[in-house]
Amino acid sequence: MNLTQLSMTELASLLQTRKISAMEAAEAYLAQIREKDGEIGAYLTVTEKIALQQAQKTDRQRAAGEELPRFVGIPAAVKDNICTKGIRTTCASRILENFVPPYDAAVVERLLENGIAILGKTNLDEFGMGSTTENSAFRITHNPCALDRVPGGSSGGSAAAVAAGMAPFALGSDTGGSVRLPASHCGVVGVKPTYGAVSRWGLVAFASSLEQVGVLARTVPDAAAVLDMIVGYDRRDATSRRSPGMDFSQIGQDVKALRIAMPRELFGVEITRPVREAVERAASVLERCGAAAEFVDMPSLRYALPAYYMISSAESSSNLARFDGVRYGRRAAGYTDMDSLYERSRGEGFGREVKRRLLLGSFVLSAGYYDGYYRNALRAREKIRREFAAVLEQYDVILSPVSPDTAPRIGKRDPDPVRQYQEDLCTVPANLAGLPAVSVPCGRGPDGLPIGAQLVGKPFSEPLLLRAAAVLEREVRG
Amino acid sequence: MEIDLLKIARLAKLSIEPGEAESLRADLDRMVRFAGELQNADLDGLELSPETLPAMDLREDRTEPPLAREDILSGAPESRDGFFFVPKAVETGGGA
Amino acid sequence: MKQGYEAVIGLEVHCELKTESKIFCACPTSFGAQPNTHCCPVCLGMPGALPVLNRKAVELAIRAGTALHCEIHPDSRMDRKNYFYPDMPKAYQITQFAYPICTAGWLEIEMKSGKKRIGITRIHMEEDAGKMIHTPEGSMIDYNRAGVPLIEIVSGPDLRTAEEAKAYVQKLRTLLTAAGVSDCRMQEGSLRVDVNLSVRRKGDSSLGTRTEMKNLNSVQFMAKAIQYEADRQMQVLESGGRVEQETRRYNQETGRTEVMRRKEEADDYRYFPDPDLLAVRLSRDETAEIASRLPELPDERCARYRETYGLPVRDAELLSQDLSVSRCFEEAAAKCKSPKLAANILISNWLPLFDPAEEKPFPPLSAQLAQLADLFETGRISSSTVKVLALRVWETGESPQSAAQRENLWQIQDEQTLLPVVQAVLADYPAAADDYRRGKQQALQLLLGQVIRRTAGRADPQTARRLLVGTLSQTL
Repeated sequence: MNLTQLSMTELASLLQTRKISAMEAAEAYLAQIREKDGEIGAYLTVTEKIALQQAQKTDRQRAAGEELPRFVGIPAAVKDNICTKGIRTTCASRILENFVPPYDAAVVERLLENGIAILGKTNLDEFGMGSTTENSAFRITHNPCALDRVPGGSSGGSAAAVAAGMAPFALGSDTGGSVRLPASHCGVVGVKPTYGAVSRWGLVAFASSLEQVGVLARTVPDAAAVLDMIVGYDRRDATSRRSPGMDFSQIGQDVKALRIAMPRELFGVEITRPVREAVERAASVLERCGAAAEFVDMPSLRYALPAYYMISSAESSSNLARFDGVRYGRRAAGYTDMDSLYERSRGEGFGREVKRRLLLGSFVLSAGYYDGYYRNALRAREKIRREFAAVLEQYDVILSPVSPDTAPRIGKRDPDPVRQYQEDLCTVPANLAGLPAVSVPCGRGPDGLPIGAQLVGKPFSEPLLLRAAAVLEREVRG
Repeated sequence: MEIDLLKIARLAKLSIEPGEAESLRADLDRMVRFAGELQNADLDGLELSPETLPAMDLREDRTEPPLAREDILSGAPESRDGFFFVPKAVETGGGA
Repeated sequence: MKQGYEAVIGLEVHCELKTESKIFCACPTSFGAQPNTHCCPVCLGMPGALPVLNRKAVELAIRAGTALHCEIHPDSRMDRKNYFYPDMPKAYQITQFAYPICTAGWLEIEMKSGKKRIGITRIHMEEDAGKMIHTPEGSMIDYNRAGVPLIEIVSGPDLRTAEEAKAYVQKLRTLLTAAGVSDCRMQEGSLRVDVNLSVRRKGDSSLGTRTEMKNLNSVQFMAKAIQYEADRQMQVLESGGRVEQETRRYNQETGRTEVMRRKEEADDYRYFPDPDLLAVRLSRDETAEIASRLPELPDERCARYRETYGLPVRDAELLSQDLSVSRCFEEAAAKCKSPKLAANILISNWLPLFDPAEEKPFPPLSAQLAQLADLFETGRISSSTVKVLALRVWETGESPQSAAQRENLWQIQDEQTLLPVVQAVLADYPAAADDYRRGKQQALQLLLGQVIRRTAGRADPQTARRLLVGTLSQTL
């Protein structure tokens, strides 16, 4: 029995019934990493000792008859922009190449409380900026579905690890689609929670008002299980919200009378035909199961990309200013005074995409431009929020593609940044509105590559979204 | 619009290689024009004063143990006698 | 300041709030710890760390606003002020730019020419930076102070002289210490003053170009800096020149202000709302509750002193400004027979010796004060002995009772003891005695003065006077 092919829930039940030991599970995944990661490149750091230590502990506790959390001993990967105490956390950037955090992120604390065995830290686009993971300063990650393709980004390492059986699940982060897009490209399930549902304490900030830690998993029930572990109010995060208890047990239920809206703006000419057809088929599948789907107009969505890019680059220009070579991280050599210390450390430490966004962000906030650019972006965002709220009064979920196309080839990105950013067309609106969103595989393109369908819902409607996603998953598999 | 790339780079404390300057300026130009599409948007009546924001929880005024100094200085590029150390800074650099 | 010109002065005062923990994290704010031992990921600006606002900081900001008659805003917001400097761990300061917590207040200063109202434009919360020590090789940074809560109090350009500025700062200190907001010690850095100063022709309503003076670490130096700078600017204008907008520091040695090294270009702080923080919101009930919990402020105390102790306005005002003075008075008043007397003794003898600018509390002399007042009240010491003993107590803290006993300062009211002295004085001053007999009342003063002198101030003036008059009329 190949343990690395099982879902997390299947693995858990084997562990609970003692058919396998936690050590066996950890070793199976570590072996898979040793075998596959050379060609895939999902991991930046593998923490073999830590994983085995946790596994040993789990086995000991189980042998002693202790009462244990449901998923104790399950291995997992963590995106390398989430702080792990004593484990290098680089954000895939030279500026943090040797940074070891003195504390764990809140989500990591949750995993450890649940006895999860951390396998290692996964690759990403530097500081989360990018859609292909090609902006990592350290390595390229290959899509396990086709090695010449990108896994998507920025949580490409996490998605690839799960897709290649190198982790039962992984944590990622989603600022403008960074969990959903790689999930779609790699054929796994990705969830971005409601803004505020999961603590951002320990998530290295890129765009504070847009991002959440998210989940990459093989199946919808797995994703639900992990979400259940990590959601919750944290007083260390002032934007953290007390969510009404989310009842994930409803996942197995049907979708009768579910009202689905499909925004025309996300089914337009930018979307390739295979993707559009796959998602429309997904709509039909849900209709066959009792839902009602129809197209709607959401004209504010045409402001989403410019608003997203202004807000995220503005916030990031401020969030990344702390990387200045003074207290931690890389300090360049050969500086003559403070200015040159700053400029060289940052100039050498940051990659090109990061620099572009920091420059754009500083520009957008600068005197004389603030009102015309940043303030306008905030107002556009408010408009988008209101439109979503209005649509979600009449409908339960919003269905759309995740990405205009299947995974592009490695090294073939459009050099024009604006055209690159068009990839995020379908995903950024949920970040702007702070709404939960799920990417679930709904088919393959003629190129054989996976296509994901996106479901977006009201705040804290993750159980409903996952319920619909589970139906889709069943029907597509079946 | 003529974006003063060097001025922005100084604000952001980023060194720009002479080779990169032109393409960065062009990129920035494209990005700014793209962002500028919002200028034509109908956004009247959407104001963002604090009354419209949700309120946050405040913290009780209690102390908790700080980080141990060894942990703080262990990642420091340069430290001396318990202090972080940098080259001499301009006196009025502070904005406070 | 030359005739025809006036200085226009506004002060920006930064005040460290009296909280246990920092503004956005739970690190201790206590002073004097080893460098970098009061720090955590939040106040060090580590990746992934997030700020959470200290409720007490908000409360103290509201107390300050209440004491300064401001409008308190139930909704306010935190903003980021972005700039790079080694003492800034996040390379931005969290402050309040667009929506401060308090606006539109005032305070009243008292000058010789009368009372004057100085406008307070705004009060906002912000975090302090770390401390840097500059050495020839480089700069050392201690982040213990980074994240300590501050309020910044911005006055309108309503001050005109160094004296007014001093009075403003003193009054601010009085109110804020009374309100329990801050210790307000310039020497310790819990109160910092920046001065904005410009000069114009009297009668002109427009404002001239102003300079900013920073790093003034005492009220005295602030006053000197203001004097110098006002004169300097006036001379520049008089000679047809133009005042440059610049930041200056005061050189204590030369007594002059000088330009701080100028930066190439002014910083663009790119203020924007801090996305890690939501709105600061207080209900009317909460604000009212905070205002009600405000400790007694000087104006209230003054009214109470007039009401409870029947003190005249002037005395009540003098005793109610400084909390440590008030405390001394009230404790004495509780123990002695005549609070009014205690007040008088304190005001005449000790207040002139007490300088609030030294930032030391009034010495705890309430027991001695009460005793002194009672000793006089019961006639055991004379009014001139009061002065002598008051000085002794101030210098040594000794109890008046034991000092009087040791030095034999008890008032002599006994006629048998005084009579010989009276007679001796009359014998030594026959001219004065004759003057008195001839009707010159003032001569009695001279004779009385002598009796008092010869008894080392101990003679009871009333008894002595009676004996003098009696003896003089006898020997007619």
